[in-house]
Amino acid sequence: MSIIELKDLSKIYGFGDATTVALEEVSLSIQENEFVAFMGPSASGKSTLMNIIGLLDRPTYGNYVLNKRIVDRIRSTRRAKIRRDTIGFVFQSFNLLPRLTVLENVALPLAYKGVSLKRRNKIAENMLERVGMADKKYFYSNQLSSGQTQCVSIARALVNSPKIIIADEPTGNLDSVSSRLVMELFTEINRTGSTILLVTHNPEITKYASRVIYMHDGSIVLDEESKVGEVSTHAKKMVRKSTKKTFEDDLKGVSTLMDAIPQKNNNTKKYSPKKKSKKTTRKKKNYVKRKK
Amino acid sequence: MTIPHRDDISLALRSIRYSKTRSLLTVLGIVIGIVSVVTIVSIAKGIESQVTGQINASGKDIILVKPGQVNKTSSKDILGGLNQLSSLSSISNLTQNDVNSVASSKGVVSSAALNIVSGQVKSDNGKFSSVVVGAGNNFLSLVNQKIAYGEYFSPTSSDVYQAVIGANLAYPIFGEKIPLGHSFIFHGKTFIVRGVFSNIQSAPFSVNTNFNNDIFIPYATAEDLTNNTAPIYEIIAKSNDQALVDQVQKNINQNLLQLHGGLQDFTVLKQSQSLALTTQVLNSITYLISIVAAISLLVGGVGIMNITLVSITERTKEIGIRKAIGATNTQILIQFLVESSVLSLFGGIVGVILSFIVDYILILTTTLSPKIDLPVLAIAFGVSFGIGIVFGSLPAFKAARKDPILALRYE
Repeated sequence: MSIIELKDLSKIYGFGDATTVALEEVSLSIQENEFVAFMGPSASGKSTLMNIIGLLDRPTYGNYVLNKRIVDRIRSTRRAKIRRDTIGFVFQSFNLLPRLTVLENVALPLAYKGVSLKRRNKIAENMLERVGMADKKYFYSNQLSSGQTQCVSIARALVNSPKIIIADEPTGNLDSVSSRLVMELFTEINRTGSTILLVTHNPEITKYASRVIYMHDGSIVLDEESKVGEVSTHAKKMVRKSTKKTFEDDLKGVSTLMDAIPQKNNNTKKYSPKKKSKKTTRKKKNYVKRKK
Repeated sequence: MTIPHRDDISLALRSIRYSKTRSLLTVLGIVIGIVSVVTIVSIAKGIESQVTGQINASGKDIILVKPGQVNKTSSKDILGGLNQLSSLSSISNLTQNDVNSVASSKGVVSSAALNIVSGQVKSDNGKFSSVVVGAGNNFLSLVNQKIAYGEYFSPTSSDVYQAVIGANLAYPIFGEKIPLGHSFIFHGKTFIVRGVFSNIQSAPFSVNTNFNNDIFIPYATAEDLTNNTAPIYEIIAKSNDQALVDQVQKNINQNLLQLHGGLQDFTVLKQSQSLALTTQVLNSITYLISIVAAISLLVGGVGIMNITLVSITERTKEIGIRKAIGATNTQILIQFLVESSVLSLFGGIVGVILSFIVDYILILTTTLSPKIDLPVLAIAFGVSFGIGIVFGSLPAFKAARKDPILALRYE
């Protein structure tokens, strides 16, 4: 049963000749209990897609069915409530509130739900126990290491027992040991039944995922099943490439990965004003010419 | 979940604690406003209760006749109250005939007149220009005034050149706290001090002079000294029955009107009317100063709005995080509304505490006895809370409407 169903979803910023197409008719179906990794270079639309799936943003066009409910046009109060009850966010920069203790941070989503202080502290404590941070519950976030902070923010995402966890580069600010810890936490959460959507720049991370989606310029360019425990095929290419690492490879970063991906499918319908589409095609022709 | 939660309040308290200096500076306007309003109102209340106390002490059956006409047309007008004071001038058109008429009016048990003799007082310590009041023999008993030292001049005494002085005069003129037996020269006659008044309450007998700075000599002596030209300051009469004060007042007024040929150039007041007069003047002044204080409250409110706006911009990221984890717009709105109203209520509390201190200082250093009562406190708290709500709502709306994605990205 699919929990997330996107159909021809587009997101366009700006207007006139300053239009930016962040998402271009993305169609996607995610089943319950999947562990999906999203990869792609910067500005490929991953975060925009996550924001729309997480109901922080609205699509410009297209339909979004979340948990059998059409949610692409509902009012902000209902969005906030769905967000609170079915979605948990984990951010790259942790986003814990510095004025609150670890326990209060974790209990905050429950407070918005109206759970009593005593009960929500108990639930939050259990969550902290689960991520191994129970002994730090009266600490403030600036007293924790980055790995510990991320564990706390995962606990916060989990506290409402959401069906979907959206993690936008959760390991982006972590060292490799903490990354492994955090990813294993995600795997364990996935095992208990949550759907996990994870954005990452690190090909290594894809080995925790059961499905890897590659994005480029606002479209999905590749969607492949991946065996848990193995780095995905295309990510592997990138890894192999980067074994002979030079300084330039470092600079290129993920875009090396994109070299390994088949060219963007041009058959998909495009939304954009006619004038603009001409422009882009001309550009493309020039680009092809130059390549020749 | 639109009711403010206990969490909102504890959160607001925490954010005030988080930036103590800023919070204090923010609420300064509120504090000043509350202190001024509470202090002014409490001073007015204090004076009012003092006056009421005096009237009760001197008796409700007292009737005063004063020269001049009180302007009654504009009693509701704020400035009207002020006019009434000035219209009680000391240029007198009351005469000895009037004094006799009052004394013989139906229902008057006893009466006394006060007249004023101007001139210089010469003592061993030098020359002083003091108001010398000629007072009838009944004056003391009429107004229940106490003598601190010595005695009042007795009507039977053959010595007409005797005086009783106000408490404030003893030291400057005679260099002694109890100058009984000392003498001074006034209009060429040598007077002997027979007594010193204990503190004389200012209202209602003396609206525009302080009797504590005056010298009292027998009424007849004063008449003698000036060849019956001393202006009569007021006539005090006592009714035989408290219940009949109104009737007696009417009698006196009728008699005097006859003497004055129908011209109402004098005022007959019973005690409750003198009180009304005093409180009216007091209220006018209180209103005026309260308006100024209210402006300070308004400025304080704008200060709160300003700082809350800044704080909301500073906390944009926090708003984004809260929205991401499920806070609705209303919940964010309430959070910031509670914060601003707690902040300004805190200002109100500080203001009230400060006003208690100010009042205490006033009691210690002046003769005022300010009274802070419950309604004033309730209004002070209510107003400061209301200011928080009113001036906090614009920033709070702004916070609630923030786009979660932009807010999350804000650094």
